[in-house]
Amino acid sequence: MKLTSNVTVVRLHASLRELAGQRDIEVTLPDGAIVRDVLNRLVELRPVLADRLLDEDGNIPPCINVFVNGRDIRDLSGPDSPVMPDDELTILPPAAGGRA
Amino acid sequence: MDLGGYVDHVARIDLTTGDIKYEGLNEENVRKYIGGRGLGVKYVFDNGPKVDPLSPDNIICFLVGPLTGTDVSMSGRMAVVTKSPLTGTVTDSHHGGWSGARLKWAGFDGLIFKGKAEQPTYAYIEAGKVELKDASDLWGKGAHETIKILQKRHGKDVSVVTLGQAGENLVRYACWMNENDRASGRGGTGAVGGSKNLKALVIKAAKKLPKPKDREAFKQAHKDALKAINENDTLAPRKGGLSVYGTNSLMMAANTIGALPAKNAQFTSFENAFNISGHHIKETILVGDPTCHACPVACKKEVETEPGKFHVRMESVEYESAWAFGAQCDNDNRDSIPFLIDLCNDYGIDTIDMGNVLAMTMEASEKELIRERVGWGDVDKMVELVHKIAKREGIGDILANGIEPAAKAFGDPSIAMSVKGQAIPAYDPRGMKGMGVGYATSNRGACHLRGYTPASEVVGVPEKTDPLAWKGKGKLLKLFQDFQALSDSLGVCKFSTFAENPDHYAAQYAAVVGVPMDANAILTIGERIYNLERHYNNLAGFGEGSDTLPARFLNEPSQSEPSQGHICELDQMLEEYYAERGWVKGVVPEKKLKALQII
Ligand code: SF4
Repeated sequence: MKLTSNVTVVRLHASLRELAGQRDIEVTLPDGAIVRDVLNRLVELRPVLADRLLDEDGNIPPCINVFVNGRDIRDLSGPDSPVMPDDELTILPPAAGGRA
Repeated sequence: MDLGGYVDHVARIDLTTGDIKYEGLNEENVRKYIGGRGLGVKYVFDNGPKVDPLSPDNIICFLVGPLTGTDVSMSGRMAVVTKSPLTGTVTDSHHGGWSGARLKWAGFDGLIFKGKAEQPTYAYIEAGKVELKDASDLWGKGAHETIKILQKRHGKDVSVVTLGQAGENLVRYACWMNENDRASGRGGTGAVGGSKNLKALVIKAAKKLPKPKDREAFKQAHKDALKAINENDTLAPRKGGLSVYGTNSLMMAANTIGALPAKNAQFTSFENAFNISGHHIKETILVGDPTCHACPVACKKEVETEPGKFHVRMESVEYESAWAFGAQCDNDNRDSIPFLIDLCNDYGIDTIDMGNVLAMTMEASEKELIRERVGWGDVDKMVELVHKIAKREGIGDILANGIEPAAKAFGDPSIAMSVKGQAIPAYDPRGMKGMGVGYATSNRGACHLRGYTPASEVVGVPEKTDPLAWKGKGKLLKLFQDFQALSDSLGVCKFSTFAENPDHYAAQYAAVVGVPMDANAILTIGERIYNLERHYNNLAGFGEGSDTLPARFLNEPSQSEPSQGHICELDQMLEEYYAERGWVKGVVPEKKLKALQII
């Protein structure tokens, strides 16, 4: 893969944002990058996030929800979902809602 | 009746005459409809579908299920069931806390009120007896003060379920409040109480957990369910999203996927969603995590806002309420939201309908349909309107009649974001298709909790489905509706369904009640309950064409990524859903009623 100046913005929320110290982090990516690459690069930039974003096997734990331009990666190709230049990745903790 | 979990004791209270009769449960009905919501719907059905909701002839039932108040996890629920003055359908609304458990411990499966008291009245419940008492001194008082007075009178350890002024003034979306901040919110059950001059229930009981019929089986069933809860990504105590952030953990997810209605659903995302999200609230104003009877999740999020005009300490900022007063009204003022919720709790008004009514009024004002100027996000005006609605003053008198009659009075019914008279919750059907068919086919008007498809479309339970795909959503919805009718009828919190499946419910039911049960059989009971409700509504006049959505969701495409360009494919989903249900254009045919042994 050849490195270009493709930049993806990763938007962190909740405790991840607290840990990283900022909400938006810019990640420079090679062509043909996938979600897994973004997370690996993010962990290089912010090692403090390592435990939260990837488990021992390098997979995304189920307590983390990742979206590419608002699409849940579980509705795309999971961690192998492609990430294009100028895409926005959002990372959220799991959710639930209701009032009876 | 020799079934475990039940007390076999119900009170029928005629408020007109003051007569109180006690009776046992009808075993056939209990086996067919369980308790709580299911049994309540049966009582309301037997009282007739043509009854005027605000007349003395309507009944209002407060019921618990066989699992309520037991050792079963999350089993603190009470159902309020009646014919709705907001929708004209059968309705049921539920609250947690401890009043459900206490009603069981006080020796009751339920209380059924009919008639109209001559004077304001409250019911005192203790040791299998109901006593009617004068509530003249409480009439005109808010829920918070009423609770304070009644706890001073009867002891700190009583549960008080009460109306605020909104129920007294017959606001059509008034609710019952329990223990200050837990609402049986939807459907206007509070107005039914007001129409009967019934102000409150006071329930006194010491903890007395009912014994399961089969203790050994119960130990295993309880252990299995608790394990599922503790290991669940949403529910796990102090780890899962619901436990850590409360229901408002959903705000950012709904916004991210373009399914957060904003500005009276003219938009599908809200730029400042973070300001009103559970995440921001946790970082800034969270002070406690209260819980309900037997619940390790503790999803309630108690807050204290900054000193100033919106200073308040209250529990809990739920997602639906935060959205209704926030995104739907184009309001990102964080502290105004708990303040408005607390104000509604004190008046005893449903926050979901109230937020939508305010948003509709803002759109009416923008379109110059009304003289009153109500700007988007004008928090002071929102507070003023809540007071006016609760007291039925000025424009508040029109708005108190419900979102649909009010929008009609303003000359544009299309600005009411509602189904069958009840306002929508916090999910935009253009960005979350399952909720579209869910709102349309809900038996109590627009509602997310009849069949909570976001569990699948957002959380991924029991499996992840794409919120933007409509195919398969009719089938998914039916399963959720049948399953979740069981939560409400057994007396357990619906959030348990994030972790528990029909096998867990069947095993716990069988162990407590002592009747053999499996997943299929218990889902058939859920299906029977859903069909009985629908049959009631059919007889009450809801036929073909009643299951619809506001035109906005069908004709105005979403403008936000990733749902941009989407509308809600309701017709396609309805076709799939009706086929799955065996209904003909929204009507339950006789064949189906017979197959489910409803008739
Ligand atoms: S999950 Fe929340 S609402 Fe449900 S029982 Fe527990 S604390 Fe109560």
